[in-house]
Amino acid sequence: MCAAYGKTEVLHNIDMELPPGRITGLVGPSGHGKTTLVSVIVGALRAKSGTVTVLGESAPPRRVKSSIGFMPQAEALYADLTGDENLRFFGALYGMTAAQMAERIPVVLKQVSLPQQGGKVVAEYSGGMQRRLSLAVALLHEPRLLVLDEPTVGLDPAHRVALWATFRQLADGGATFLVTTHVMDEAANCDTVLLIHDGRVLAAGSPDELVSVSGTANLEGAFLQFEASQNHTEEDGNA
Amino acid sequence: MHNATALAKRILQQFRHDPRTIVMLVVAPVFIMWLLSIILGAPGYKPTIAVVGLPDQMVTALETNATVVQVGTGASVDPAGVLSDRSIDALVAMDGADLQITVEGSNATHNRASVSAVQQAVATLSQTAQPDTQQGPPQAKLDISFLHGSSEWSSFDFFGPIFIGVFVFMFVFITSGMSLVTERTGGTMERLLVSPIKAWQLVAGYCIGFGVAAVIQSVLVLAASIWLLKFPNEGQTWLVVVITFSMALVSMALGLLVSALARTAFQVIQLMILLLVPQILVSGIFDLSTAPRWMQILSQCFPITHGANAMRGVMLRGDGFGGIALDLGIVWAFFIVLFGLATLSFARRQTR
Repeated sequence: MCAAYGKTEVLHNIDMELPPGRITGLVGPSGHGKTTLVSVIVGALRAKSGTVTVLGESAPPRRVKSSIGFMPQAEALYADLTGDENLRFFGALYGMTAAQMAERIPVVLKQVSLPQQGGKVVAEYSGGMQRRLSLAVALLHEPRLLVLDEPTVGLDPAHRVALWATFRQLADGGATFLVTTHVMDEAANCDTVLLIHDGRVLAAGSPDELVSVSGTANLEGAFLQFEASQNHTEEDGNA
Repeated sequence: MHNATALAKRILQQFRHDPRTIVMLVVAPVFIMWLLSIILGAPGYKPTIAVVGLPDQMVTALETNATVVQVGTGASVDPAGVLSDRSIDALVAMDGADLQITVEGSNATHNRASVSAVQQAVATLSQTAQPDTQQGPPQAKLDISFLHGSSEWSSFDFFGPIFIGVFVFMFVFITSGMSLVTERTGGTMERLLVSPIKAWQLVAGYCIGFGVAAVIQSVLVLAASIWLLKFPNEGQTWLVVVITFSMALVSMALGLLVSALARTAFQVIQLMILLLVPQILVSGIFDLSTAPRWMQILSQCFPITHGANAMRGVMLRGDGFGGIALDLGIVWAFFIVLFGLATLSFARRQTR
């Protein structure tokens, strides 16, 4: 699959598969195509060539859209509404009834460890609270595929650890995760890690595999090792 | 439809959380209407008219509309001498059976006021005078009557209905334009587009939300105009609300269609100046009956013109539904076409 903004091709021949019930991590520096990749997968951006198959259906069907939970990199909340109103609006978009929402809202708020905020509008939330509310919106309609773009940015360590525990719990319940991050030690929580560099998949495998294949001490070292060898290959090609 | 109403509800909730905007939407139009009523509704200028040798009845009649100054008794007064210091606007002299009016001439308003004061005096006299009276009106009877309204109506009353329609159109365009820019920059538009909402539901949701907000706004502005500013309303108020709602829908559909062009609030203002201001100028605020033919045709190509026509039909002429059906139909035709185009443009942005 390839994707482009105008004439600039951002992703080149990406070929990947998300195993169900697993957490797949997209790791790589900013500006190297992670967000573009998730945009194509959730359908916010059209692939220039190739296909995306979600839950057995190749891209189009609308019924698949309600099986995806998407958390964009931006907060993507209505700052002038309360948290509850935000959740109820997005819930309604996904066809949830008032009764379903009344049942689900306390559950997701607990999952993202965000206490009820009453009538407070989102503009008065702290950055970390907004981030967690945004995640709650993505989880609300019990999607089978969760696509989370940098879900833990701006969160303190305690919340970060709690969120990864939630992801693991949901994955064990059968949900499939695609999570982007540029923090290497977070990637260690994933079942599979794809190292993305310059719109290509540099390497793929479990965190342990990547570390041992590269012969380095940790993921960060592994990434640098793969990046260096990539640049080396390019230089060879140019010579 | 569930999706569309959820969207409409969200828009109204956002208004509820923003009391400043609500106040601005109602208070600002009422304040502007009040200013206009002062500017355009000022009482007519009362001219000062000098008279020479007029019958007493005539002088009395003149005094209702002018300050009358008696100068001399003979017909030998030199008009130039009387009018030279400009404190007197016109000189009226009796010349045999005829009235001779000499107008000062340098101020259009004063000229018109003087001539009409004399005309009215003559008309008043001709109504009361006996047919066989020797001193009867020296000229043919002047018959001035009003098909609609009365001589009491000020310019404000003629412009008011247009302004109410224009306010609704601008309010919907600006607030929805800002809302769409915020959705785009904040990322919520992306979330909307990847949700299962269909493009037409998205457009319909926006139209319902802002349509309802516009109805509330226009009801409040209308109420203030009619009761506080003593605005004449000859027709049925619900028809006025139907027209403002229809205009709000057109404005919303237009705003959604061009929303792809605006990334910042400033660009919303640019679009408004480009798309709305020319429409407003030719919508009927200025009389186009003597304008070039192409300008008259152009003015018919804009929805605001037809909305303003319908507003005047109801409020000034007391038209019923039949009287405004054509104009209202054209407004709805604009809406349906713009709704379709806006839906297509959002469907293109939704990749699935």
